[in-house]
Amino acid sequence: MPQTQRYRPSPALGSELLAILPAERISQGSADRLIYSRDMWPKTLLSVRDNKPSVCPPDVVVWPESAEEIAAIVKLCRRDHVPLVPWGGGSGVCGGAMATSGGIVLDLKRMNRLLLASSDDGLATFQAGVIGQTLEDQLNRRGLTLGHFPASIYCSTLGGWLAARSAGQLSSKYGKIEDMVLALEAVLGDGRIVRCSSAEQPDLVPLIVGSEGTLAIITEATLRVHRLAAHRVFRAYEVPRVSAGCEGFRRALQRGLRPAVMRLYDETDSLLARASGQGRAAGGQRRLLAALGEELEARHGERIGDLKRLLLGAALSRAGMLSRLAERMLPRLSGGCLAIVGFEGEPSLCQAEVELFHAELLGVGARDLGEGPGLSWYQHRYAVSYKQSPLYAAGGFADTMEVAATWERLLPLYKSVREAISSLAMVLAHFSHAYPEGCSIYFTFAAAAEGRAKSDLLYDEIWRRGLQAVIKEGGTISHHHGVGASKAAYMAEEHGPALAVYRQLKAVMDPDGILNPGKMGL
Amino acid sequence: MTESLSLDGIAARLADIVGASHLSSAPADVDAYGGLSPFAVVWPGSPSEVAAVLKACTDLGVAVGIAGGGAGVAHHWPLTAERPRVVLDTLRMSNILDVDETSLTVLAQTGIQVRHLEEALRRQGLTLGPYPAELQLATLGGLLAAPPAIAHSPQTGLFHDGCLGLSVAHADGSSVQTRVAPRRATGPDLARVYLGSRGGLGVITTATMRVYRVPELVQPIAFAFTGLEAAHAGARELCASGVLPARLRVLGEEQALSELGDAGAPVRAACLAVLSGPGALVHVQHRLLDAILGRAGGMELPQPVAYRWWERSRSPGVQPDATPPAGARVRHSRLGEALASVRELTRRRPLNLWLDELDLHGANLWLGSRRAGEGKRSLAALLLDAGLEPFRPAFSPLMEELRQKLDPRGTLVVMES
Ligand SMILES: Cc1cc2nc3c(=O)[nH]c(=O)nc-3n(C[C@H](O)[C@H](O)[C@H](O)COP(=O)(O)OP(=O)(O)OC[C@H]3O[C@@H](n4cnc5c(N)ncnc54)[C@H](O)[C@@H]3O)c2cc1C
Ligand SMILES: Cc1cc2nc3c(=O)[nH]c(=O)nc-3n(C[C@H](O)[C@H](O)[C@H](O)COP(=O)(O)OP(=O)(O)OC[C@H]3O[C@@H](n4cnc5c(N)ncnc54)[C@H](O)[C@@H]3O)c2cc1C
Repeated sequence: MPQTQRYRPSPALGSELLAILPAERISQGSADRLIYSRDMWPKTLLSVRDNKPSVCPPDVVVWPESAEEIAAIVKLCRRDHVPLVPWGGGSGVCGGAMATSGGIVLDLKRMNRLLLASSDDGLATFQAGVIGQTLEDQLNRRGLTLGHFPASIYCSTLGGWLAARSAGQLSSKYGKIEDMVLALEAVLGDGRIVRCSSAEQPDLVPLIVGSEGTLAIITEATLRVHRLAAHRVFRAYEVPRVSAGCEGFRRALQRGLRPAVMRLYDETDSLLARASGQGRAAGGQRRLLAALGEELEARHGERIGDLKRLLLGAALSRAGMLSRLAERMLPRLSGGCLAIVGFEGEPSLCQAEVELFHAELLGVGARDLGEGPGLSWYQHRYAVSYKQSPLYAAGGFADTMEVAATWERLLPLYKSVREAISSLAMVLAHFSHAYPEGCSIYFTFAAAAEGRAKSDLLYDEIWRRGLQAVIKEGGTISHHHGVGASKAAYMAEEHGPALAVYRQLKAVMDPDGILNPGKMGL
Repeated sequence: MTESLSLDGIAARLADIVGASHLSSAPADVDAYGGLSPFAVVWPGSPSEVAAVLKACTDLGVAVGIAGGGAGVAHHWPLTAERPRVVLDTLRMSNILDVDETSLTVLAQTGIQVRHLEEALRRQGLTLGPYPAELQLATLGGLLAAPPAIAHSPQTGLFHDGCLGLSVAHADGSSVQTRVAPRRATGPDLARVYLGSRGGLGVITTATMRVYRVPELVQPIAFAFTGLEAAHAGARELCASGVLPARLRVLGEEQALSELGDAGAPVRAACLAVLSGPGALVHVQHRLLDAILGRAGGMELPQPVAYRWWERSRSPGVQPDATPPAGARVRHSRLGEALASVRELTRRRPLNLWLDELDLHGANLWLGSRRAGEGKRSLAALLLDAGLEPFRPAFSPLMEELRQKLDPRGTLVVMES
């Protein structure tokens, strides 16, 4: 785990916080410190498996209720150089909310009020700590929707979405969270409370959005909201190859079509989503297979069969050989790639778009699978696993690498990443956030090594090779999970000399470097 | 350390960088920059020359104003500091470096006039988007550094939102380039630091812009209404319905007369929309639009009226009004009230009133005058009197602090208009 120099808490910290917050909103208790010691970064599960859960416990956890309280806490931290780490739902998967230098974790979930909703003006203002589904429910009651549906909607907050530039499942129509935000209130690292809006130029909103708690603590946001869709339609297709699916998606988007959902699974991922049958495996490997099966069931939201488990388990322990075999066999085995599209909005517009889209996909050799697979995906879209992954318990690990590139670079990037890591891990991928100029690729990898030390090495090596391939092919190292601690080392290559501009922003907004230190490669 | 040199010495130093033929102190050349009154103008030919010029100026204590096409309304130096001033004109940086027809992006140097960029793209069946023809004389850099409020389309958003990456030279001679990706989650969107910075943070030297295929079908449509409120209500409903026109305008009576000419019947207010895209989609959108604007009380004007307006509004010869209009952003829920107050205040003056940049949230309300000599300030004052806040670009305190970090010696000048 990346540990920057750890702050030594002053004995007076607790009592000084008491001057700002009531005692029940401050905790130095070991249970709270344990709970807030890690977010959902999969690597931390390796520690949990070893019964070493307290990777980075904060010294104090606080639950503020207003921007003014946060400003007062910031000023206190500033005086004593106490690290301050904003915490939303803790669902981030990059270690972003972990107090890697100790200090105070500031949980925003008590700041969860809807401050304004106007259907006339198509906007709503919420405090930043509101949980995603609560926000959406409140809008739905008014006939409105944000259009942002990450799989973590039940366990992530508005502030976390904005801080890490989250993407929802309907991003092709509604955009990512950064496309939905019109104005912000935030507390800077010097204690100033600022309000900024996209009406100003230069626009500060896109500078604070994405900064993962390193520049400011977001306290409220005004968002673009839409009327609830009157109508929703799904279609699924089997396309012969990834390249054909991408081509169909690209052509449709560049003609001006805006499906709400666009998902293309590569051959391996499609096989897993489809396969069923009998298979046998023995001993530890069997346990691993069962566990991986569960993991994948959670990911895909559907039951998978033993054949899949067999394939996967074998692949995990002999990843290199099996990847090569799969490369040769898959085109024959898999029956192509699954593509799901969904449209929503005014019924006649949806219908026209569906027909145009259909023609584009048939043009690249797709076969119509009707609406079934799309409906099934929609029903299970939040069926993600919240329990400690059994895959880890069985000795393996899995993670996801979500990257993006313009269309011209996309397939070379896909190929390079697979080549770079498939000797070390089983790799599957889907393409689920597409834009007229490019697309993201969501790689899932699973691997196994004996013991903690080897697992750590293997895990890091997979990321290193994968992200180096992404950078070499001119893609971005993250489309929507953010950077946090896990990708911090790659920021210099991601941004080149432009990283200096981020550092200047940091010097302006957080002059003492107290906000989320050690993250983002700053 | 700031070196001290005579104006001739400074000119010689800069000429060493750009070549003697790309620097001039001749009155005819420097006077072309009006209010800027530099002692010299330099025309660098590449991003590295720009960086070298900026570094030299910083070392020599020379203030630099950046000029693109000069379409910006009168520009002034905001400070009267007694320092030698030069204008860095991007005229020569007009190369198109790459057109990616797969990803639909173009990489160009920012001194290129939008008109020339658009012509080149059209030859490949591409376009920068359905933006008003008034932008044609501006440079790409000018539009990114000082985005005019009119550079908007409900279909494609703001012109500068189409900027996927850029490179910039700073006052100290350092350069940065933001890498292009459709979207990313790797920190702040650093390109955004420079968009709207009006030359105060650095010179934008190249930019990668999203482009579009020339639409398969373009359908202009004009509806007449009995009043602006009804026309606005129709346009608002259109924005919420998911029909995204390439252009959308709502015009008051005088403005309708000047944009539509003789429409066959008196038009008290009008809603103009241009639909574009695949034919099948445009037809469905047209039916929806007819229903929505019809419900709001609109009557469709004959097609030739709409087509004539569309042709005129995109002809490159289109001239901005003699007096630049004054505008303010107004949310939909406050527009009725705003229109009533503006009308009350302008009862005795034949002013033109219109709305554009209509989206889910609101519109820009504009007041213009076809009469020369009607100062922008007096129009802006009218908006203020009506309780609205006219556009007035200003650096926020935080941006000002960032400016001081990037350019501690204040070489670059933030232009005011
Ligand atoms: C099962 C599962 C499914 C997921 N699916 C998706 C998905 O579909 N799409 C997607 O985009 N992501 C997904 N994620 C990742 C995660 O949900 C997102 O990164 C989300 O944006 C994090 O929100 P959070 O509130 O949990 O933030 P946290 O994890 O608490 O924090 C994330 C980062 O933001 C900072 N931060 C939090 N709140 C604030 C604030 N108010 N001001 C400033 N900084 C703040 C933190 O310091 C940290 O650096 C998934 C995660 C899991 C576990
Ligand atoms: C009808 C109409 C309406 C307009 N409305 C507006 C409006 O609402 N708001 C507004 O601001 N302008 C408006 N303008 C002015 C004009 O369209 C814009 O300012 C446009 O950016 C001018 O482009 P230009 O190439 O002529 O740049 P210039 O006029 O030469 O420069 C504009 C500004 O950008 C800076 N600049 C130019 N190039 C660069 C570069 N490469 N790097 C960094 N900085 C650079 C300059 O220093 C200057 O501050 C309007 C113009 C018209 C015709």
